[in-house]
Amino acid sequence: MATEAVPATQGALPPDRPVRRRYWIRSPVVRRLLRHRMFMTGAVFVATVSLAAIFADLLTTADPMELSIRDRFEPPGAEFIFGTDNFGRSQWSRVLYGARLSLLIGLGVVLLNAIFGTLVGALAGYFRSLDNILMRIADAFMAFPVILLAIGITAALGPGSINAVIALAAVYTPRTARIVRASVLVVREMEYVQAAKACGAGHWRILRRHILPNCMAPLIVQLTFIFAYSILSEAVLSFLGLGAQPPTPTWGNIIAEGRQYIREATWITAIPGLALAATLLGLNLLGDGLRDVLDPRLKVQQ
Amino acid sequence: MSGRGARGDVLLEVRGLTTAFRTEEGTFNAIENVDLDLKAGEVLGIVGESGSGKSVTALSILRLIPDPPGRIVAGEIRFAGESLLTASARRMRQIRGGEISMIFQEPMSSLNPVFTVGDQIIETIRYHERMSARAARDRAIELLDRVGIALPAQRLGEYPHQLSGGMRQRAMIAIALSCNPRLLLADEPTTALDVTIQAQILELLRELQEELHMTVVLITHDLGVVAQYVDRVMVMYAGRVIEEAGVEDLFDAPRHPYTEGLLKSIPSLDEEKIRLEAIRGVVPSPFELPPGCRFRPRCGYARAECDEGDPPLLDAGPSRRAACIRLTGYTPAGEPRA
Repeated sequence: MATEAVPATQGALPPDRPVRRRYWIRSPVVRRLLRHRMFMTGAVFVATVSLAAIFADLLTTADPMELSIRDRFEPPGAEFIFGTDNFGRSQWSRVLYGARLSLLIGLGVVLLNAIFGTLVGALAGYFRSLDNILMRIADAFMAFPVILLAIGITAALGPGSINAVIALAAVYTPRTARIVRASVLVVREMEYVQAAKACGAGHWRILRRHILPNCMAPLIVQLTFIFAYSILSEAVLSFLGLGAQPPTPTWGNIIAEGRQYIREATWITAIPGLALAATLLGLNLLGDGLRDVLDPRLKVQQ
Repeated sequence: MSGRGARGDVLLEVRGLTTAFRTEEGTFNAIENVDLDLKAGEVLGIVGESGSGKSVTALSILRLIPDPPGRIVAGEIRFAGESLLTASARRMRQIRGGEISMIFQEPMSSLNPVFTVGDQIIETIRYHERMSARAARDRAIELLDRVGIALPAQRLGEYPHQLSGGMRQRAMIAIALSCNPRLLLADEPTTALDVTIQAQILELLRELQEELHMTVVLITHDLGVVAQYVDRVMVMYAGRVIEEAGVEDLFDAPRHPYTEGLLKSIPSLDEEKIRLEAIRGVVPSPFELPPGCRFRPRCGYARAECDEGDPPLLDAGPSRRAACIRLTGYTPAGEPRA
């Protein structure tokens, strides 16, 4: 059938080679992604921000917390690339270190989301008796606007970046769970699941080996969007003073601190704002690209 | 392969098996009072239209009826002397794939698309037998070779979408055979394949059956398949077994009007017929079963007596049974339906 599409496995394989081989660069999904212009644009944006965040130590000379009254409100220029803020701190350092924290928080939310969203979604989708109770709890969470609920939870837990992660994970997990549940509901009816049961596989094995791997595509797409939303929501929380506390820089609290000087020193708010916008745009393009490539409805049936 | 009874011993004994499904319109019995005896080494064909309960019978034997909505409500299943309906979930998992295997109709969707064929065979082998990855892999290659897949070592590393329909069904058979099952339930294994491949797969199944002394239940709606490949036939209609006989007896002289109708609707090469005879009417809905015999509304031999009770399976000659009132000269013998 599709023999011309699989040059990777042509030719006799010596019997002692490992069974599992990943020719990822030749996989059709990776090739389609590399050709997808929006995906690649998004990837470049996200990679740039991520690299800047990872190598913030190497890319900056000034301590992001170091005050220097003499250098207050320096506009962007040769000495200070992004200028300085009201305490004379280097904006370049603060935005880069802020990127680090913002991305870490986003990553933390995505991670917790992936774990709990998959767990809840898989349980609800696979064990039908749990479905009603789990999904009604999820509905209760989703009945609140995202930011309002996140504010409520951080207010209860106390401000701080760890608590912001917990709050945002709690807010977004029901959404992820719903998506996983929907895919599980489809995949559990597939004949290969029935076949696996007929081969003696138990619930755990069926979920882990046969159902979840086939639910990954929508989950991955969802998680890129969750990543973007949680960075934005974290900025909102920090802006409101509920995220990481000053003087620790995050994009949200840099913007919050700069807003009093927005007329005189626009760069203080504009630069982290632009960084935030670029990151979100990049992640959304990335997510759209992944969705285009991974969505089975858009894929030609092999 | 110890403890594998001699040819001729009863391997599977099903008594009064009744499986009900709950739906929004109410509860109905997808199969009712199914009896089945299977001797070791025998090939039994189960024939019937869609919805007659063939697949439900097979799934019930493996206790794979999805619950809800389905449930086995009555009956007994004894496999090699062991009661399957009372076996623990753990024991059932050992039996499934280890002692009783099943292959399904759709080879296109019966393999997990995200794992290679080899992964899936090896997984099943290692689930049932303690074996090193290397040994399991060798066994998988051997199995693929045995089911007639060329370049087995290479195919092992391929994904299901890279194989043709026939090859996938062969791979499914390899998985089903991976742990030397004593009983193979083949649920319309060739329906989704084109005719030349069908013949190859059936031929393969017969070869394997003889070689491994397997007992096979072949579920099909194709009487041509039955005629060539099975020893004994069970005909099902609307959830009940209505006739059971050796394959030659059945084709020579069907005792149930439904079987007769089925046989008449096969095109024959010997005689020239312009029009095939079809059985008039449709299978009754499980919610609107006629009183008395379920086949009565479509039956050419029906008389008033047929409304009095669903006829039980009666001996209709040496080692054959049928459920028709004509066997008793239109004397209602069955207990009246509640």
